[in-house]
Amino acid sequence: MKKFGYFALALSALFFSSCDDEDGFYNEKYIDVPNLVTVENQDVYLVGEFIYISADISRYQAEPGFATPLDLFETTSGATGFRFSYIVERETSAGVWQEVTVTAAQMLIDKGSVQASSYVLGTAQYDSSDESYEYRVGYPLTSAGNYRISFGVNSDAANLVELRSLTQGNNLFLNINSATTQLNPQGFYTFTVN
Amino acid sequence: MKKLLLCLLFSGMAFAQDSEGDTEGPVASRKNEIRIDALSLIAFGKANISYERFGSSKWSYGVTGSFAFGDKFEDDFDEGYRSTLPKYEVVPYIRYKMSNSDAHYYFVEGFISANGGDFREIVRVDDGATGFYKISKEEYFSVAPGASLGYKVYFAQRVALEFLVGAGFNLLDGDKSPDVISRIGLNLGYRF
Repeated sequence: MKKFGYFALALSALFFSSCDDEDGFYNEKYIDVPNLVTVENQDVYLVGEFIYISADISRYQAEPGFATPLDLFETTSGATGFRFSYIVERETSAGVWQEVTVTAAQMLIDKGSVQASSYVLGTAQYDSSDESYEYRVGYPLTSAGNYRISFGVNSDAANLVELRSLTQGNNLFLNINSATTQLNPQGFYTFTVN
Repeated sequence: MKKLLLCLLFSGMAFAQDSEGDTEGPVASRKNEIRIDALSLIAFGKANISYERFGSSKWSYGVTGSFAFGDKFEDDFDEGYRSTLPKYEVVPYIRYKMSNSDAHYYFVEGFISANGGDFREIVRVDDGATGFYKISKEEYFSVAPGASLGYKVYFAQRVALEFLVGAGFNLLDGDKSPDVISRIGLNLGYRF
């Protein structure tokens, strides 16, 4: 029994050894760049119009703590895009919000690409001519009411848009946390459609 | 399969009990042993070969050499799930037998692991006008003193089955080498 204790002690050491710094994701880099994604604001929205969400992200972004701008394209070994998500909800009764479902075909795609259902997966695509990642997509407003937009599916961040590079293979993935002042403290952009 | 292994283990222990009491029994008269680690071979893609020399007392000493050949750890390393890729290890060790039986016994072990491999990290490169991040790979080498506990049983006085659990702490290249070196084995050996 005493010797069994030695083995228990040794197994404890084994568990301890598994708690070293080997866990984690070493192909991921996180940076903060504010105001990369915007909701194009207008005073009045009418049924039949579209609300546009846009991004025009230069490949060169200032990075706090460094004298030189960060090259997003070089960092991601030529990622063709940065992806982010958002959800549009409509207030069906006082305080009750329901996700609005659309298809990509219903959206007006000016720049970038989308996949859409109960949420929108948008991709700001790289344009080599002006060296930036671009997105501008209109979301159809098909009925009157109060609406709200939140960024990030299953994200806890209230005032951020989280973008992730479409990196190929085993190259570096760049995650950008982009703070925005367009969202309320609960993380929503609210508007009314008449 | 599990039942078969258990039967082998218990029958071996029973056999070992029968041969206890011999002062210089057939097991003790054989002073050399070689082993391979089946666990590392199957689970970790690592070839692990040991030699052990037995003296007339309860002390023995030996050396273990291992090198990685499997793809799994290398794939994990390339895909960024681990920051180090251990490639080789040489482990001189000394053991003390904790019972009088030669046929089955617990032992304690002190070892020094000389180990090396590859290390990766994300670094920012600045060319004067712009900066970018990239994955940098370097080699590391370190030395880890450590200790282990084990249990060994002999079948037919020659065939050894050994369980080993231990750990050591790397002292060199601290920013690149793994903090902890584990020494875990399910060894099959032949004593001659």
